[in-house]
Amino acid sequence: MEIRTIEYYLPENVLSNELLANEFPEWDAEKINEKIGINQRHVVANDETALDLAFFASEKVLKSFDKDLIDFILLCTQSPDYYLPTSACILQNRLDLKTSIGALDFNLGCSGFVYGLALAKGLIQTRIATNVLLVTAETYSKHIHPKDKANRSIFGDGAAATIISESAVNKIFEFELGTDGSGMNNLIVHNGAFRNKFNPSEKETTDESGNLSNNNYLYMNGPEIFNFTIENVPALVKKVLVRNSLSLESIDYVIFHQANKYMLDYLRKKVKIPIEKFYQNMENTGNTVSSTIPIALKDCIEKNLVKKGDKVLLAGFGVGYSWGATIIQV
Amino acid sequence: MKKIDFINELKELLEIEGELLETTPLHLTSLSTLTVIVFLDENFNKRVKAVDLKNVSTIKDLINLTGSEFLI
Repeated sequence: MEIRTIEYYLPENVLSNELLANEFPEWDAEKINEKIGINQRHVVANDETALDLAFFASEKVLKSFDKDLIDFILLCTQSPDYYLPTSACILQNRLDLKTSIGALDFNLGCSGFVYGLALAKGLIQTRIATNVLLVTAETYSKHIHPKDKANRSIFGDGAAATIISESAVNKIFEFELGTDGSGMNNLIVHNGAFRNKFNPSEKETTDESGNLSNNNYLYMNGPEIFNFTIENVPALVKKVLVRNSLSLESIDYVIFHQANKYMLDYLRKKVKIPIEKFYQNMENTGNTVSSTIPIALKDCIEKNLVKKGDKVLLAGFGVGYSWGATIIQV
Repeated sequence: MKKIDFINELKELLEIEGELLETTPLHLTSLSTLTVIVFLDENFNKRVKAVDLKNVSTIKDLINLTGSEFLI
């Protein structure tokens, strides 16, 4: 199996650092950009959802691929339109795909694209599907408190659509996956589902940097998430290389989940990945959660940083905690 | 690492102006907390929990957290 094609879609509204600085005069745009490497991010309008982004990204990818050949939709999102029905089912109808296909949502964040590839590989390998439409679509802006400038600076909305097909030569190699639910409280939206209902009178809290939030909105313990990545990502890279009997030297390019510049700079150094083999670009998109890897991969191919035949290591890590890596051949 | 180098490096990394003594009050924002996490991991292979860094209010607290065995 192989990745046939990727497209992505970013919502029209752009939230620049200047706009954030206008809203938060104490916010040092230049300093933040220097640390996190983000100049602007796209955010959805009030009436726009992750499913809309998924639809536009899918429409784009289906311009170059016969939609009648799609026989499975995998949709990764943590911002569904409804508790039920499943967004992937609605997407099948909106895209006017045939009804004799499978479709399901899966709820993951920054590891979602790698897990989607693993699921697609399994479906194809077991002859359940031949052409899988894998969509990652996220609108964290809807989960973030309007006065939480830190998270508003980091996250951007977006969607990516990838087609994975069977092929004569396998170009999606072995996977290394990991899960540790003990980290659940470090990146969480506490209220709104069934454990804790949305609470309109929830008390607001202010963190040490002056960010306002409450349990109805996204909470991220940045330092602990950072600790999690330091602990797990270097090991993840080692393990996926061992699993594939490859060395880091034999890998042409490395694409990590584009979390933020500060984290990626340190992880790259720690794993000892040469800078020329390591992609970093979240300047105009922010951290789009499950879509950062396909967006980066598409950009790398377009910029000719990744060429046909290259082996690329992909690694995603975050909310859950959940992490995963694989190696693909372009 | 010498204690004086530890203090001087942190002074630079945390962009602290003026003299930095062990007793100088320290206010760690989320970004400076990340800086400290990286500094300790990189130099001492020492992992510190965010919750422990929340209780840090002076360089002395950080020295204690790092462990005296690492500093001379």
